[in-house]
Amino acid sequence: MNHLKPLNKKAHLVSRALDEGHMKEVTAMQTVVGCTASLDPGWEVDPFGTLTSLCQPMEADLYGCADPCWWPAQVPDTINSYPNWNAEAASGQNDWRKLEAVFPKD
Amino acid sequence: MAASDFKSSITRALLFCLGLMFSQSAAGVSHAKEYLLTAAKPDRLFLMDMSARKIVREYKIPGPMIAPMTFVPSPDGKTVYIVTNREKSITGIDMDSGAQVFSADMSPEFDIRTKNFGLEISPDGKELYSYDVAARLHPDRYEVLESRISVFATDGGVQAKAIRSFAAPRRIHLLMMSTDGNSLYALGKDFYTFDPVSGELVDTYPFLNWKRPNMSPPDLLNFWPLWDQTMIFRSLYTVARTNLPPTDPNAFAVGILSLDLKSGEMGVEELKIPPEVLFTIVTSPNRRDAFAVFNNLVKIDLETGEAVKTVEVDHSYYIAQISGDGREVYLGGTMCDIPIYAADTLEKLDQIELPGCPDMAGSPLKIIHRD
Repeated sequence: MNHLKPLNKKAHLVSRALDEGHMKEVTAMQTVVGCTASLDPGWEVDPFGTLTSLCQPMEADLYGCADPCWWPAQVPDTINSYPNWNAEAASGQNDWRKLEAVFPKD
Repeated sequence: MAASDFKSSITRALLFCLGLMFSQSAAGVSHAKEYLLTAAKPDRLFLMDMSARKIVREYKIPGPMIAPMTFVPSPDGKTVYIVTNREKSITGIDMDSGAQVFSADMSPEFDIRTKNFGLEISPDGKELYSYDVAARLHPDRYEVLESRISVFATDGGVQAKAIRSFAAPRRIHLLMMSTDGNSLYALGKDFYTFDPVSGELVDTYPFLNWKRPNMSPPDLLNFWPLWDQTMIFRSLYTVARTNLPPTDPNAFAVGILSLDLKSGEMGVEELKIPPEVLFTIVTSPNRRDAFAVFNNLVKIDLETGEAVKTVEVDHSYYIAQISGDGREVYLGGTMCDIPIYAADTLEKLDQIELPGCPDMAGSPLKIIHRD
């Protein structure tokens, strides 16, 4: 955290939790399993620094991760804010064109 | 044939039949047929006869939803309980009629959002156990509430309410019952054992909090209920050896976390296989072999910890399941196809494709027995 500066409200909460000794309540994954999670690096590399353990293709893993909110940053949050994001796209491999970008409401 | 001989023959035949019935009953032999069950987006449930290589019935899951999550069949194979409504409800479907016979809403209060992330049923089929993650929604924030295990009576009908609940640690995703129904296991950061009646946390097996020299905390996906054929739950974890540089080929290892639901024995053991991501592992009824899958299907000898054979699969699959005779391995989750592999050679034999090609996503593959 020495090189990170909080910019928004949530980041300030994290920073405050650190100061108050509450950070142990949040545990980052030590060794990554699966494609990505909220604290994982992303789709770019697998836990062993290679590409062989990435999901193949990405669409195979899309809903298994998106529906239980495993990727809250990378795809719309279907549990809280955009529950119908993929309601009309039952097949990730066939219906991906129906998956729209979303924008915060005013 | 004399009348007495005839009567004697009939008596012997009856005794033989009775003896056969008794011996089969005593051996626990069931005449119910084995099926495979899975769910798919947005609201589908599929019953498959894998020996005939076909879907024998498709159900529409009632209620608002975009994706069925985990589900659990009743022990008699007559009802399936599914997490629906974006993890906010549990629905029970009668497998004969397709009618909704059970429904429980976990967020009855408008400002509380409760999500289910684990489901199990008692061996007598009378109680459902739901792991609930609750939050109160405020205009500007979410207030984290105590996570809990809620217990429902399966005869609670379509407006079922929890008959009791008890606090449980956060980050649990799998619930499993001991075969005698006396212990409820919950897998989260650690492996917890609850008394399902009193709700008392009676034991904690350290997993993420293990203290093993030169070993990082382990990491595993605890999503899929895979113990149908053996009543042995196994899940794969990865771990880093902290005394080796990350560039060392032995710096990472894959291991197995095990729980025997009959004896209650838990354990961890690293395998002698190259480090790769494998999502699930299923134990063969022969108890020696196990099959793990993600981008590869790997047959593992549990006695030596070595990979016996590895084959590439068509795409990533989350789940490996196995037939009751141990001869065929089924893969599922992710997309819409369920390939069938020979357990001895890992040759792909066939596959079933779900109609309309809906994604199974994170839904499990469960074995179900029905007359």
